[in-house]
Amino acid sequence: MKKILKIIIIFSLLIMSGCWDRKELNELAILTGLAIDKEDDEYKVTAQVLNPGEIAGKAQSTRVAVSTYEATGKSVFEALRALTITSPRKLYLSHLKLVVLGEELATQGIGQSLDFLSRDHELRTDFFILISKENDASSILKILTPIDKIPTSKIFDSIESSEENWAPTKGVHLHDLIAKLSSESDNPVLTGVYVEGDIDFGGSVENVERINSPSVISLDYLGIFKEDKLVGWLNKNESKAFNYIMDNVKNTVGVEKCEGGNVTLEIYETNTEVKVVEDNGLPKITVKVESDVSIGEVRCKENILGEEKLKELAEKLDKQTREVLNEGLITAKELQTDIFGFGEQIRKQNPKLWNKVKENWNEEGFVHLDVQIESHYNIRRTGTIKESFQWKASGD
Amino acid sequence: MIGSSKEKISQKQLTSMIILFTIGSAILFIPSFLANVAKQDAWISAIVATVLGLFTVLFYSKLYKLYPKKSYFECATFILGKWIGGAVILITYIYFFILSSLILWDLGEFLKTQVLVQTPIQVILILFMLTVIYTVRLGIENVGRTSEVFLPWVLGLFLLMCVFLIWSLEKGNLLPYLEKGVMPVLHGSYYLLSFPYLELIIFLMITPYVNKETKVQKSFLQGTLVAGGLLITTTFLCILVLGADVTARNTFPVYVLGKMVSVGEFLERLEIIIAIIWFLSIYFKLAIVFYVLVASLSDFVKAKDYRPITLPLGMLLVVMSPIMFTSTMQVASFDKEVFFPLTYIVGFFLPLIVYIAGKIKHKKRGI
Repeated sequence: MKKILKIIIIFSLLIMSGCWDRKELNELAILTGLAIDKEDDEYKVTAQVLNPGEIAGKAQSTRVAVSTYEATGKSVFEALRALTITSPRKLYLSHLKLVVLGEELATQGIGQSLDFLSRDHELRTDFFILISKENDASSILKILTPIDKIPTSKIFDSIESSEENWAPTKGVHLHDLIAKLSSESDNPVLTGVYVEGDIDFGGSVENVERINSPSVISLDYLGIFKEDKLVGWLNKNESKAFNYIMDNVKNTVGVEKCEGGNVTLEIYETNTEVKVVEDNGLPKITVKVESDVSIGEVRCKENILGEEKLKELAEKLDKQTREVLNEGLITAKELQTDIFGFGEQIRKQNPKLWNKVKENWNEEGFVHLDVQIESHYNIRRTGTIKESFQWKASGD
Repeated sequence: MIGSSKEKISQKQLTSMIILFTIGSAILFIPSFLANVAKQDAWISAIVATVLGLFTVLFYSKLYKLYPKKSYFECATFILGKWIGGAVILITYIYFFILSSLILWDLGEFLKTQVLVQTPIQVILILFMLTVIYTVRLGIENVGRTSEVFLPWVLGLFLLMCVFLIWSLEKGNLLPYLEKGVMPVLHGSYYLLSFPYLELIIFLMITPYVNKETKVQKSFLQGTLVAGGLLITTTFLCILVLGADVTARNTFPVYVLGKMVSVGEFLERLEIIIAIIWFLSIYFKLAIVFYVLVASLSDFVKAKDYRPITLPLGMLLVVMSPIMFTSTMQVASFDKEVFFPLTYIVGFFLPLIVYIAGKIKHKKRGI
């Protein structure tokens, strides 16, 4: 009798495994992107959901790989649940790659819409947060993209690769954003994203049937915030300045004039140090940028590879960097928001001093902050060739 | 000695039980507790508390040495007499009961919020309790042996986790040191010392089983040192990877830590490793507390065997736990206002009284 009971128990282990909270794949709508807009007092949530048959199925039809659903609600959570009316299955949030916030919502303040994203258990934290520039956030999710069938995945990869190779953008994760929002000594930035071309056309399959898609999703530069409100946009140089100061630059290019054209340099390693010193009871900040560069493209008439010439070139680069960094600094000071986290640096390096100056930091302390920028370039390599063939040709 | 006197625990087994017990439920909650009060200095709090914890267990092993063959409860009645000793035992027993319900609640809370959101909490609690009851029916020797088997897994997985996190460290998160002075750090240590170090008093109930008397102190110190190291490392990693702010805001920062692991874009979503570590450690913590609960109760009623009451007491726990603890917020304030002070009384003041009285008794007899 006991033996039989044991056998039954063991067998039931085999057939009864699984769990209460199971969610079968065919019951899920996998959410890849989420757009949040504000319409009057309500949130409009747009969800981009995978169409699994089109991604993995062998017989692919002309149907699109993703679909979007929209719903409004008094909160983000409510709107997400309201989506069940239109979406065929319950949304599964764990694979979210992208959250796009509307520009209007951003100018009114993003804080309130973020709580759900950090509270819900299904959401992970590895998605990027962007601001849609000019258009509604929802339109960003309605453009089909070539190469990558899933548009959000395309944007996600774009952010990662441009962050690696091109200085003016920055991918922001939820944790960083919330940490900056809740800190009194720091303000966040978010990368902008916009649709180039016709939005309606971008949503049709025709858009990806052409070799040169008429509507594309493109990353813009950085939108800067004061507390949780969007107060302005930086241009290319200012965005670059931001990333230099924050030591986010991994690899980028810089162009410098020379006789008869210009020379482009690949900056492959940069290191920024922000130092705080106390000067007459006021903080004084030194930003020291140290970069290793190699020559990437030469369009000059004369030979610039002599030791003296290279030194000159490096000095020119130093000057240019100082100017660019100053440009970014001035814009941020005009908008009275310390996006560089200088306040945070003061707090970290000299907490006593910070306590003295923290009152009205963005409006007063930061605006009048004395920031010294130092830059030093080391030109290390010249690429695979030494002297340019152009010099031979022009020398004849 | 409570329970069956035939059982024996080796020194190694005692060490691994102490390690798993100390990690117990603490590893998931402690970084958040500490970061809440001590901010980026949470790891300093952890170090201070661990040092104090080592002194505490040193004191426990001194207490053990008074009467190595007697459990803490027997010591109390023997030294303080039937009435005062009885009072000490009663308070301590109630404390152990609350502790076990709290452990059970911790587990339910974690699973219910993070993993099995739609599963009724009773199902989780009953299944877990059944496993614990089964283990305890097999005896404390068995718990010891199993802990020896599972300890390498816990340590190994933990190490793996740490290695994967190396890529995400940001040393700037540690600055500035001691921003608000020493007080917040000590405040954090106050929490950590009571949860889990002062809970180790429960081991005085099972030390009589240890086969070598002289090795108990070594076990206590080794176990606390290893577990303390793990707790310090976890807190340190939380602050380094997540920053003080995120650590403080999350209920289970260590689980979030697991979510942060991303090595080369293919080694991701490892948070369940954290859950496994935690299941194992909390299972042992509950098994040890539950064993002491049933064994000492059966001892009190002079029953020959403690096994018959495992099932009823287990049922009681499953029922009591959701009744005693109804919400996350309630438990947070219960911990702060009732449980931590109670831990100081049960884990420090009462044993101190027993110890001093015991010493006086020894002196009177001229030993």
